Amino acid sequence: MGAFFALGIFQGAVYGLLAVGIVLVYKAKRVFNFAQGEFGGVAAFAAFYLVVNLGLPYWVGIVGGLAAAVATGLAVERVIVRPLESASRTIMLVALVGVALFTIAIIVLLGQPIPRVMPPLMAGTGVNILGAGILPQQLILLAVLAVLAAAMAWFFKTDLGLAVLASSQDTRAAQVVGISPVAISRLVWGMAALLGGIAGLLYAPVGIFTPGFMTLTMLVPAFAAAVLGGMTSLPGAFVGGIAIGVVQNLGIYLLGQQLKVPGAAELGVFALLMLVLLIRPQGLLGKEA
Amino acid sequence: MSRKRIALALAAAALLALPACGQYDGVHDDFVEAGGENPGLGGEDGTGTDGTGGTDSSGGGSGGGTGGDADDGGGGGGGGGGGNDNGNAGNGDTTGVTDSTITIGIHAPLTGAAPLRQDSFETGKDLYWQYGNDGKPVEVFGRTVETVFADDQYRPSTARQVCQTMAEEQKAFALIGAGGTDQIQACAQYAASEDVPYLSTGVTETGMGSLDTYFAASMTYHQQTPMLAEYIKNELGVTDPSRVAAVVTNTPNFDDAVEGFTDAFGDVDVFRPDKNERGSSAAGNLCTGTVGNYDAVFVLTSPTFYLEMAAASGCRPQFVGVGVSMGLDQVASTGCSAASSTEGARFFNPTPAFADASEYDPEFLAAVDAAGIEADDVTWMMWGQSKVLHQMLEKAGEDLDRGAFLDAVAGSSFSTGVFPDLNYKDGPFGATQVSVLRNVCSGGGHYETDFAFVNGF
Repeated sequence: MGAFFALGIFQGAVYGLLAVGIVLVYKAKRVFNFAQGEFGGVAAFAAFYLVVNLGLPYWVGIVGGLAAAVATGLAVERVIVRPLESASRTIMLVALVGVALFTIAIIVLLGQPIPRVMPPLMAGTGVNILGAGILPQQLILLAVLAVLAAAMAWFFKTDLGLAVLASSQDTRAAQVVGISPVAISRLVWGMAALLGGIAGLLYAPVGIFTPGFMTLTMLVPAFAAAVLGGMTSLPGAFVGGIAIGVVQNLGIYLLGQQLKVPGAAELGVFALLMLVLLIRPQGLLGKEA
Repeated sequence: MSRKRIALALAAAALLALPACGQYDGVHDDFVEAGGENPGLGGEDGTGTDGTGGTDSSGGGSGGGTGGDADDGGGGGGGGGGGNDNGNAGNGDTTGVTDSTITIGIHAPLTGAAPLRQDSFETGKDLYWQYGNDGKPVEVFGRTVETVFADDQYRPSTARQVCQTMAEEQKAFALIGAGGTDQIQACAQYAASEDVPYLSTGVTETGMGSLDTYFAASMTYHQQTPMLAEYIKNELGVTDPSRVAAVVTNTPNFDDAVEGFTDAFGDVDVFRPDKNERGSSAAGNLCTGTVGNYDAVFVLTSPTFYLEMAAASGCRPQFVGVGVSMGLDQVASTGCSAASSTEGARFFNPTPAFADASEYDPEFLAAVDAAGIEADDVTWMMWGQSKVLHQMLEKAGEDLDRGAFLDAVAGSSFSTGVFPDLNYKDGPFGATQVSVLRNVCSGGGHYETDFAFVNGF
């Protein structure tokens, strides 16, 4: 069971990393960003192309991947988000789902829907943690998640972060005091894409990646993590991600393998989510509005 | 406040419902498990609409449809059919057959959870028919063969739909399933309901044995797994069941494979991950840190799951398995690029490895040269399957119709040197041989042939 617990922590780190980006956009724009996973997908495929196909150094792949993700984020902001700024949140949500599907289709067209493996940032054999063989790449992923969640929490205490919050609460009033909503919107989507890109780059080398790998397998647990953590709390997204990962894997072990319950991973997460929302509707670390 | 609570609860429920929808993509599993046919696929209760005979009542009948077993219900009753020049009982259904052409429909997953390379299919589907006769088109009693192709998206419902389109709108005489157990099952059931001949690589036997129009061109999982148990014991030297694990996706279509394996090997640890679980989670079963818990691990999952599990394992167990998609070079090379996590894995396969194709059928490479294409193992597999179908069409005779084809194939033997030897005298699961492929990581990762066309170890 220890191995499943450990695997859950590292699996949850990916959810957490995506959830931090989701919370950032929600906190700043009150939008559920269903395109968050594909920022990671774009980064992973761009980096793979640069490192594996073109044989460029790894750091070039990282920079190129992140640049591609940020460029995608800014394009989404300009082409989709800004024109729909005054539309209902439902329309915005559907549009962002469309962005995710469109991005996946483009990646499929450009790169064939075949599995790929990104070389790890740090090679090496697994480290035994509670019986699980944890790869160095997974340790890096967890550390980066912790740093980013802390950095994002700090960001919202800076003048710039406060400007983002002010803009999200009352755009017109923020504009009156000199905060540009366009600049803030670009900043938020650029940062969200950067976070998604980091998640994609760190996660792709852990396993196998295919077009849509972040959206199809990571996004739903990441949203659950964001809700669990409080939807507006960046440290909450971190904690929520880890909790979802652990409960999923313990569900597989305890319910699935021991009790032969089908759908054990989802059942465990569902139970956890319902429990937390009933007891603490604002989420683990969220504040009541 | 309460509105927010409700909204959060609804959002959470929606989030959890989304993956659940994906999980039950193959909802037909439930009634297949119960032994029945899909009511939505026709042939509802075994009373049959017309069996394999029937549209032409002018000649002697080919007899009733196969009876089916107690669970599946009886097969359809046969109608009258005329005999053709080869003595095969025809039924007058010449859909897809003209004086100069025969149209064949092929389905495979090009998108979805277990995609195969689209360009491989595009180049491979016509290779045999266009270049298989010393670089010239193959003719069957003066007719050339044309193919139509459809992406089944790795979804049973889509597979059924595209098979219907190919058979009814594009007028395919026969259908071929290139991969994907659930999709093959769905299309085979549709084909049987409409008396359309259907050929695929061997997958599950669940719900397939009673289908009058189905023929497996390689051994089924249920047939292969006892042989796999023998292989593990006699070739890999692992005889202790406690050192063997089976990781098999939790679908009723794989129950027969698990049963065959555990019956032959004994009390091995069996893990049945759900379809939407990640392979990395299953890695926790295989190793304690970097030490393997098992000497041999039988894998029957999607290739992506297998590759993730192998990549995330702290140890390097000996992976073995059966099937078709696991034996593709794409799987070998991907596993090799993940720190050689699949090096040495062995999989049973219908054909010898693509790397050794010239040894088993030199005509294949000659056709590839003539076509000027870059071949791969998907092309090789389709070449073999086309070759099987060619022999079947020859057997059916010049006066080709679906009834004559089915009558000719049932009870006949075929040998291609690419696919296993086939003999359908005892039913649709006519293969008795497998080839064993070994994952070699040198040169980027591919499979090589350890054994070709063996029927025991």
